[in-house]
Amino acid sequence: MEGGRFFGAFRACSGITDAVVLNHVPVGCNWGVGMFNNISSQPDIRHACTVVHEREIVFGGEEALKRALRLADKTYDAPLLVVISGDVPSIIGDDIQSVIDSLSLKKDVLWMEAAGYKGSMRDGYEDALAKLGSLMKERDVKKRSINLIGLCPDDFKVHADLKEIKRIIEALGISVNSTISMCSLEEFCAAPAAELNVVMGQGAKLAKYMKNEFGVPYIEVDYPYGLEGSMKFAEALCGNLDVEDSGEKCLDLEPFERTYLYLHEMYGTSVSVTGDFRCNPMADFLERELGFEIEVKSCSEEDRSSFEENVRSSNTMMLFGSSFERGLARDLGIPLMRFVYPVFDQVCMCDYAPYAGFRGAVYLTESIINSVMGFDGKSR
Amino acid sequence: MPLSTPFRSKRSSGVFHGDLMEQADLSISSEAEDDGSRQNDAPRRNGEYNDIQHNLLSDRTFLDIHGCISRLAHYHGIDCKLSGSVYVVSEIEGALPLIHGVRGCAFHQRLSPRKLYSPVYTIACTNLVEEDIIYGGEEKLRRGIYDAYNRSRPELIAVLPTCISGLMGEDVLSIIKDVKDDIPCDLVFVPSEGFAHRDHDSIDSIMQYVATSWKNTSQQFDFKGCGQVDMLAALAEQLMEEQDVIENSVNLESNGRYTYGFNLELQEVGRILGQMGVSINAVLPTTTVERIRQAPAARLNIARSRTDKWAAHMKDKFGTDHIKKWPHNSGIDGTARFLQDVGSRLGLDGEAEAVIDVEKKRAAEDLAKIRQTLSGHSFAILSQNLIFNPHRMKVYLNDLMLPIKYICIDSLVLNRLKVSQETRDMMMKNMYGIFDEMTPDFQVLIDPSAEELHKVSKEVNYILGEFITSPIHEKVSEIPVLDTSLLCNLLYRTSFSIIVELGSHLVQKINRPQIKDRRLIVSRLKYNSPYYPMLDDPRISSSISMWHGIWRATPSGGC
Repeated sequence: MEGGRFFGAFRACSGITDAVVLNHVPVGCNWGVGMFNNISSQPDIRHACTVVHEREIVFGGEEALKRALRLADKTYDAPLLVVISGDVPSIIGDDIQSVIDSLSLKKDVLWMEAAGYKGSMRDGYEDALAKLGSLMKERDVKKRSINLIGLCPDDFKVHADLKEIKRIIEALGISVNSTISMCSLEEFCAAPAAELNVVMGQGAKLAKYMKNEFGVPYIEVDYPYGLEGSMKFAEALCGNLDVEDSGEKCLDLEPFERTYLYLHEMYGTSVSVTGDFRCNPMADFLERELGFEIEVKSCSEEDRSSFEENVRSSNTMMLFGSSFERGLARDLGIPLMRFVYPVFDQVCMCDYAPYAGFRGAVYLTESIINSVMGFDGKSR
Repeated sequence: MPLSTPFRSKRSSGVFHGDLMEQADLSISSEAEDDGSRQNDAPRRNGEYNDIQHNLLSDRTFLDIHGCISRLAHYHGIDCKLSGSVYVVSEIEGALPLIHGVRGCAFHQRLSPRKLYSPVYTIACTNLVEEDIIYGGEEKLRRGIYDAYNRSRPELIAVLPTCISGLMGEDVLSIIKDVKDDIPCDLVFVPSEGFAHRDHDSIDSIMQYVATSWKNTSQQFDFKGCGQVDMLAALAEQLMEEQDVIENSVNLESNGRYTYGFNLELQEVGRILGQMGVSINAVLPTTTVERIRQAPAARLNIARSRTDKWAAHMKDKFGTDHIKKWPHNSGIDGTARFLQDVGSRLGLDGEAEAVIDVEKKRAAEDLAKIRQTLSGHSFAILSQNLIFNPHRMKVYLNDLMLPIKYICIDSLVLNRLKVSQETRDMMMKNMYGIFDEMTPDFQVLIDPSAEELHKVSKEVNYILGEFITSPIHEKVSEIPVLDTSLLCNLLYRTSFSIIVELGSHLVQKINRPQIKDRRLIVSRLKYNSPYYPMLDDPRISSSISMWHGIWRATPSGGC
């Protein structure tokens, strides 16, 4: 079960860190996206809603939108208002563009249709980024610079992961131009200055748009989990930018030596993994680098319904997923490692404790070992 | 669904008829024990009251930490009507919510604001897509009901329409009627369309109701648009069945197993009622499907004052009498009066009186020592907002006999909620009316400035910080604030022990050496003055302003 198109659009747009997202929806949809958004970013509240209520169902939601836009224009200190129109306005046929055109606002306004019934969370993310792409302008290209595409501000560990990924990239002599979507509007609009777009799991639609509009080539890479995953990531960047691959210089085995006996013991551990596009790279790390046995893996919405059933009938000893897998882990009496959206029962405060990249491989391994060793309930 | 360890306490000896002790244990159990994070079954500390404190600390530590996100979100939004319905279903052992809508609704409604600690892991959804919007989703609902049953084998499926199915005009009731005979479980339908949530006018109505109920117990209040209210009413209408009435039995409406202090209240009420010869038929809705069906076996329903539509329905359909717990049923005397009323309704006046006398005597003995210590100090009370129940003062004045010099009330929350001047005036009038009855020696300060608060702090030995800790506690370490939030929010509950425990807690705090050199990390942060404890951050203040503007906007264009 995943959030659908509306959630995807919200997650993409809220990543423009100085924009305000105005959800043209009833209160509940706005509440839902906000709850998952603010677990580890509590002051970052830049979303509001038009409060579509019964009266809007009868009379239409355009007046409510108009009022909200005027108020948002007056209230927020932000360069951009993004209107995300959800299920109800889509069905009652609100003419969003006409509302926007009828107002003289100080701020730029962009809107997108994101009815939940019109696609998946991934679809919503892709389309929203592509729509935001229309704000980009041609720039002079900065040599050896890249954009990272595919991030969301409410991803688990995203700040720490980004810090580590940037560290690796900069160590290669490459600069990061924009991180999409976890950047200011100005940084977002300046994205065409990059020499290469690096799509990490999602955001390919924007990358294609930028290739067509601005000639920025793109590559698609896995989210860099593990030492191998990080080296592959570095290799892909270097190969495409004609830079000498010095990724291996970042490799530091010393932390693994400190706990190598536990790594031996954990070899062969049966685990199951579920999640979005991060699922496969995580499973690769667990299987290829830690030597775990993957019992059940579910990387797509279609697989998810049978995931739980399959895990229950497997020998899974540890589960990797989101906070929503906690119930299953508890039922089975096994530890849960949270790594994918949504995580709402753990916080990320330390920017130096990533799961991605070389340092992330260490911290992830440490967390797995601690999670197993500290687990008090070995039997089902 | 997991059945967990019963809560045990030597003071928990409520009488539950038939197999209800077991059922009630389900009601007060917690999934939390399963992952070892809560220790409700932990050995008790010294004496009985420490047991209360231990359990409250456990609730505060392991439940409230999740709740802060919901409290934050309420500053700039409200949750969906559907979430109230899902919440109630999730309280029922063996029930499954089936959401007739898009997957996004089912995705986020699993995290109900009232039980963030424990998401609703099992939820079914018809997953309406564009094709269904065009051709209709009724067939999908029909299949969804069969599928939900086959997958989860629930005892009850609650079919919950959403904005989309509501807009599409889906005939959910007909589908339910069609499949009812084929599905070997109960089916309940609850209108849960998100756009039918409570309206902006409801805040004013709620505040009027609150202020009126301080004095008057007869006012009825239609809490329109609340999923919780409608779901409870639907259970009464569609699930409950006529039963032979069990004499001297009651149903209790619960706040929910993951609400603060729930276990304790149930324990104490069960014990006292048991001693009166009253058995608990069901704890609604925190029980099994079967117990809810059999709820009409109770002679009396004990309802929460705001959400009693279900009880009114049971009165109409089954003739079950009901009684509400009101704000003025606070304190030793208020609690005693309430329990006496329960006894009277059941024809157990004498029994109730005898039990209440014992309870009051016991509380008085315990309170005597506490009062002695507290009488040697002077106090001010700092309440964060006007929703503050003025009857709480009776606990401080009459039960704990605190020498109170000031009561400082922050009414800014009413500005935040855009409560009308008329309602505010009524609240103030009623509040002062209650204070006048107490012939107080204290002075009431409404919205005192920081300077005034500082001055107050110099004139008393201690300030009791209620609701949430006051900003002055965080900022000025020399002001001796005693944080009473652990207990003071439970003073509305039916409990003598909580009052004694509050007194004991204050004595402990006073006797404990004050830490003079605290440099709290939270004190280094800058807070938003009218919206403490929100941070002073333009993103937050703008979003709060935006919410107020939209929520209170008139259809004709108030902004």
